[in-house]
Amino acid sequence: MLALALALAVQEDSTPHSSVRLSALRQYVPGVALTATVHIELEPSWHTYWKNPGETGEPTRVRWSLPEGWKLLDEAWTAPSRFTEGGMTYFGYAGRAAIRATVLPPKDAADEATLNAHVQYLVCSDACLPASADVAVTLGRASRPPSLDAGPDGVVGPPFPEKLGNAGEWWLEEGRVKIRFPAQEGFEPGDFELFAESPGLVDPASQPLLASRSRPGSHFEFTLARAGFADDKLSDVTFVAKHSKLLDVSYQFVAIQRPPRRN
Amino acid sequence: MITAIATLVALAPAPQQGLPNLQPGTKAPAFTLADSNGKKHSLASFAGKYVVLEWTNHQCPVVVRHYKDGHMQATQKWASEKGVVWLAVVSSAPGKQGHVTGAQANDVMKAKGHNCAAMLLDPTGEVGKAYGARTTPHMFVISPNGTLLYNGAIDDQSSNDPGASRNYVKAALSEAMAGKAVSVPTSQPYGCSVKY
Repeated sequence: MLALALALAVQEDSTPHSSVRLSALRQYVPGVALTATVHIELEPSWHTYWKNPGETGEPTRVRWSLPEGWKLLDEAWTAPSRFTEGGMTYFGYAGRAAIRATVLPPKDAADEATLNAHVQYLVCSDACLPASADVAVTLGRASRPPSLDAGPDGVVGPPFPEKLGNAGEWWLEEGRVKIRFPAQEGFEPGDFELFAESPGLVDPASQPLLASRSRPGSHFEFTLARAGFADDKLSDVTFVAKHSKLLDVSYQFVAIQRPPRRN
Repeated sequence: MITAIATLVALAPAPQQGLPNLQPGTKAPAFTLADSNGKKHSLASFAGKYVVLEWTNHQCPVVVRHYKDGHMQATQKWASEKGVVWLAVVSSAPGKQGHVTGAQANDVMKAKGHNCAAMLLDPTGEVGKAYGARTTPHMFVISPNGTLLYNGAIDDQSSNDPGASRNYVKAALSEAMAGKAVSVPTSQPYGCSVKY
């Protein structure tokens, strides 16, 4: 008994100051896509990082393990927030983060299916601690899609960014980064802050130097400072545009590199 | 072609705050720091040799991972055998994660099997801030004539791509020693923030 108590006492918490769970509807239909969501809940004053952590930190990683024949179609992350600490800017989450997979079961899927996710992240406050978790959810097979009153798959908090596809473009102008994406009805360009999913293009510390609406075509256009740690090989860069006040308004778009103009 | 501008907002320029971003090709900032045994080292004293600066914090999980798998020690050994002076630098302030006294630094080096020439103590963060060291690890490669050759991450393993694996420090040293231009002179460093 004492030995067991001691063993428990020295067992390390693999998710310090945080917890991880995986949610999904309890049933799936063969050949019909469904979602499963990893939720990371953080204690107050602790944070973790987005896929581009900014000037410090490390990307949160999710490795999905699906039954044979299942396909991972898409992965979506809730929009990050911008934080500054000691003159450094980082992108991440306080409170909670969610990463949602869209998966496709095969038409001949077996009766029961278990979806697994290995989640690895840094959890930081004044100090940083490693965290990792293996989470799983088992689904039964149904012949018809679950009724709507089965509810969502447990997602609470801000929704995932609305996908706009290859709707944007970027280019360099006078050493700065210009980014355009389609204007969103009812909003002004200055309502948004931008986050690049890849490091190496935009200086993480840069707020929009200029946000404007162009005509015709009605695009939002942003000017940002170029990354000090520039990656010259970037071509297409995915961005998240997040409304700075309305938590449920965010968009994700791919910005294609505009070819240099010929003189 | 953008024509009329209907709305203009957020015109205030972003103030240039935060840490400097040293560009490869510029002179590496001079420094003099005491190591874990109290011996002082200045950058100038290593003129004629390649120097690697590795910002470290032995309690940072990202640093722990690089040492646990032997990756950092192997890179240190590889570089040292080529005559490179590899200096680990600790800029954690007293009371912050990763701060070490000289004796504790020696214990860390022994326990982790460091292959660096010395561990330099920068408790005021003065040298870290002069270099713009952001994370642990954050790597700088300096040429024999004191020019910065590389500023950034140890490798490309911050990405989610399991197939990616490029040690930027080894690549920069190999290319420079072969008389070639460094193909990746900067990359975004990743790891815990330096605990200034």
